[in-house]
Amino acid sequence: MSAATSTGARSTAADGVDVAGPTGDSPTAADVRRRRRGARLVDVVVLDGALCLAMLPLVPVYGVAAVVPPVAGGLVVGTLVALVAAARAWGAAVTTALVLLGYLLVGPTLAVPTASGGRLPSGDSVVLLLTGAVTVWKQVLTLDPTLGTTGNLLVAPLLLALVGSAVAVSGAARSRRGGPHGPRAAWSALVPVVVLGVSVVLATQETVAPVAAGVVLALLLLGWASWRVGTLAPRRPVALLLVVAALVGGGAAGGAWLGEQRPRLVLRDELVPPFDPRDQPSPLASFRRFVKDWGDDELLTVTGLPPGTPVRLATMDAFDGVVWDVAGAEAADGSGSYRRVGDTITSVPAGRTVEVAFEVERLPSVWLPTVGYARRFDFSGGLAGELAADLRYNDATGSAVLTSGVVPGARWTAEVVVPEVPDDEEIGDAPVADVRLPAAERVPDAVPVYAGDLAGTAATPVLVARSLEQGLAERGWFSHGLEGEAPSLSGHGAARLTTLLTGDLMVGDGEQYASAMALMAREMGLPSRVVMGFVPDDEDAADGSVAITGDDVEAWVEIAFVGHGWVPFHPTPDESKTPSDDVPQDESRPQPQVVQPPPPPVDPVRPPDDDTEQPRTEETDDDAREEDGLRRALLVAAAVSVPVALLLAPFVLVALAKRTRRRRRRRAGATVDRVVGGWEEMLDHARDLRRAVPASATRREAAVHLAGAFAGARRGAPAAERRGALGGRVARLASRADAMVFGPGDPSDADVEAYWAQVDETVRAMRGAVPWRQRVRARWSTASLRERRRARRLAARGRERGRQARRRRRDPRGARG
Amino acid sequence: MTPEQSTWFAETFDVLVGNVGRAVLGKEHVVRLALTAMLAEGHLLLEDAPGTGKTSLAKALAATVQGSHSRIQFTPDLLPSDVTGVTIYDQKAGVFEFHEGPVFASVVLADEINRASPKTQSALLEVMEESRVTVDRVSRPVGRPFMVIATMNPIEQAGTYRLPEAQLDRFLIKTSIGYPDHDSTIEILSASAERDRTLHLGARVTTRAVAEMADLAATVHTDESVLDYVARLAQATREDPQTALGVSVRGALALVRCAKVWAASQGRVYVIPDDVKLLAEPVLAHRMILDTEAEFAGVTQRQVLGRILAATRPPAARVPDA
Repeated sequence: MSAATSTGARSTAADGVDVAGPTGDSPTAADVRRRRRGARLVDVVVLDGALCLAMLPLVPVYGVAAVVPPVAGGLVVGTLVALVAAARAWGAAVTTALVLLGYLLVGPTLAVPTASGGRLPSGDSVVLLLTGAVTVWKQVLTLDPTLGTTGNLLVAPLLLALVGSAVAVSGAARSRRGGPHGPRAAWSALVPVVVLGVSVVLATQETVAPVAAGVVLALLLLGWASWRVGTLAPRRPVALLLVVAALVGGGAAGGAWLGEQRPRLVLRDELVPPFDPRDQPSPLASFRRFVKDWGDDELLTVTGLPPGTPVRLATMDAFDGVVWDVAGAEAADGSGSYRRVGDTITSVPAGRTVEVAFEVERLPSVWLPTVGYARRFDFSGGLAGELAADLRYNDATGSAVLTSGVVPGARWTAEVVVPEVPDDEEIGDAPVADVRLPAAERVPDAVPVYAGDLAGTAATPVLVARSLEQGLAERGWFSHGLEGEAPSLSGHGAARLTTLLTGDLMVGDGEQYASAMALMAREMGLPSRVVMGFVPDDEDAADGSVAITGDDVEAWVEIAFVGHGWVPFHPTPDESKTPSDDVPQDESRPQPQVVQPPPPPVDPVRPPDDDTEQPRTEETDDDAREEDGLRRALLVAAAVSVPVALLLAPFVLVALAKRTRRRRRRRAGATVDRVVGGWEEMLDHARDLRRAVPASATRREAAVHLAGAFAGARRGAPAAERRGALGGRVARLASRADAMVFGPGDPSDADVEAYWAQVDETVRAMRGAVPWRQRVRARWSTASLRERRRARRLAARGRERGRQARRRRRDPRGARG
Repeated sequence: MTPEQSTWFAETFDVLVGNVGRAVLGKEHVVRLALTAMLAEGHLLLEDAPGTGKTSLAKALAATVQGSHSRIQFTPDLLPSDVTGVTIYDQKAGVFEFHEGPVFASVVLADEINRASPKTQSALLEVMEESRVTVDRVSRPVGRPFMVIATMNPIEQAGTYRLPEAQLDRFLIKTSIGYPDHDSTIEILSASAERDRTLHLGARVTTRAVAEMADLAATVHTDESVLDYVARLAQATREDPQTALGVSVRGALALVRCAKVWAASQGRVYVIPDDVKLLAEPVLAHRMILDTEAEFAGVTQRQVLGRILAATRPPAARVPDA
């Protein structure tokens, strides 16, 4: 640094902390250097410490062990580069290049340890580092934490630390402390704040001592900034203490209040993951197929399954009248949001942790068999890499999918948490949990009736659920509807459930009973969902491993209770409870194939009738009388009348245009033209009544067309009669017009008047033949006005074309001549 | 033409239609077309499959009019002189004497005209256009009314020659009869003993009356806008991309003549666009020649004409005086 710098430092020394001493002696060069070094150390410690605090939210995203090396390394490299560049007074370009170099040198070790083999930069790791700088942000958001050291995900903390420290320290080191540019250094305090913002939006809802970290960060940065600006006054301890107390108190209270009030804004929650399970067919719809086609086939082998624990395949909470299905991906906390997962899944309920191994023989769907709630998946075998990349997990339901389908031979081990199933006493009178579920649509009418019947006088939610479960299990009969069993259709749409609940014999299997119970539970206000999976027979388990066949498929219902999570209910009657001969014969006769009724027709979209657009005026004259009544009334009148006038203007214009047109047709021109005008007036009325006549029709053809068009207008009188009455009128109009227009001589004025009278009569008859809504609409319709403009344009174009054609024909002759 | 005259015309026309209709059951429209051709002093060409009543219609038409009628059965070996007549040397008198051929009659039925060679077909040309026969430099008129009713089998059938365009253009109306509807078929079958329905038809109108009606029909008022419509239609057939040859002025003229008769037959003293529209197909379609591409594509003249009719706006008002 130059001598000018030291002079500046000296001249304003009295303002700063490093007071030169009251003696006024010039400090020696060694003193200045020492002091400057001390100040630089303070800068570095404060800024790097603040950056560390700012990146605390990333800890739950990566895990402590994973995130510390890149953050620490990044801070060290960034700080060193900044200090060296500042000391050498290198420009911004050189500094940036140095930062990049440092990034490439330490990056492989710190940010892509798994890919680089952990040591020296290689081509692969450099590519990963460079692409990571762009892609990592999206990946961090879309992968479910904890991310660990997978891929190049650690590029994010490394970059934040490296760039943050380089910018902050450079800013601080390059300004002359206390000099004319001294206060500028304080801007460096903003860098940790920006980094904090980035970290928070990249992070999860999980926080790490947010209040304490925030208060410490604020204290550090404020203190440092004021010291750099030169306003720190260590000799005013009261004021300092007051500021500290205010910060700590405000931070603690405000932080706690904010934390309670609303969840933190993190980008992760705003993302819509791309895999949409709605693209897949409903898993429950293939229930019967498992029994029928793969009844004895070995589908998968599960090792380490705790006894009595079902294997879950899919969890569905949306009923649309035809099938139970998973909700769409847009339902953030529903069954439909499947995300990629990192090393482990943190959001699991409490329960027993076990390790379960799966091996798939054949399972043709995307749904991955799971047990309880998974904590981690470890795929093995040749396809492990692809399968891990395809894995999507839904933490609300604990179900998982492989986006490209579960392939035969897939093997994996899952560390899962099996929640305890509480019994009714444990649940007691716990209320149902407040879970957002998609509303069930087109629920058959029989469901609420039957639900009310079954629930009876049950007092607590769990007892209601239990009575539904037991009621179905007791009243129903079991059948898969296979050969040799009682007839039972597959499917669980509204029609099938109506048959189940109202038919002579309640017969079905898990598909129908679970669907019915889930809908009944919804009707009783219980948040329910249908789970499809496998319940293997316990005796099948040989040395801890159980082979699951299609016969093991089962569907059941889960209902959420506060404090107990989702509790399963099994409403399906026992498999041995089949309808037998003691059931009256006629009840087991085969049902005809019932096709699912098509959804009710959507109400036709009707354009709003023009006349319904009456202005809505507010009643505002309540207190108009009290003060200055006249003025207010006038104001209100003006305020109301202007919009009213604007609203009415189109109607007035249409009416005016039609009246003008009619008058011109009736009065202007030769008598023949007035007759033609009368006919056109009638056609325009028909057009406004939405019964336009094609342009290429002659008058008689138009008459036939109109007779047909108006015959279908109103129900009531027989069609032939109406067609006869109106058709005759229009036909007479057509032939009279033809006679006067194409016949010899000109019609008299009396003829014209008589004709117009006939036209008016016919128009009245036409309007009378249509419903009143059409009449009203026709009055304000602009169809005829628009058509006339179009016809004029067409005619003009036709004339122009004719002129051009004539000119073309003349020209070559002229050329020859 | 006064309203009384038009009433008389329409009534007479209906009588004729009824009379012919006794021989050709259930085909009133075709009968009306045929009579229109006769009263417009034109010739009629009936093209249809064998056994649809072409000859019956022609014979009934001839029988309805009081006057001479003859029939020529066209065969491949028919000679022009078999049609027009021949000059023979009378040895006793020592003079050449002209023996009139079958064309010297009021109604000439040319049956299966496309079976004859083009040369013989052409022998009819002069008669049809000019109502006179020239043999050995002597020109002889064939009288009035004169009408040729020709029948032909569809040209695809074996043993047929194609009619030259010039001759086709000389036929005022070309139409087909088609198979009768169910009820008419039953009626025909129930009278299977009757060999020829036309035998019992009496003449209902004299040749003079026919000539008078033709003169009367020519006076039917035709507004300029209707003529403009006809001209536009003819123009459109010439400009259409699918036609090689459009409708000639003779064709347009024929359409106007037919429209006048048609209007008079409806008791009207004026022509309306509907008349033109209705007659356009039987009068104009056979005069158009499609271009090769359209023919290969299987497009028919009727289709092209239908398209043109749909695209040409009929007049609704008179032509403004300019």
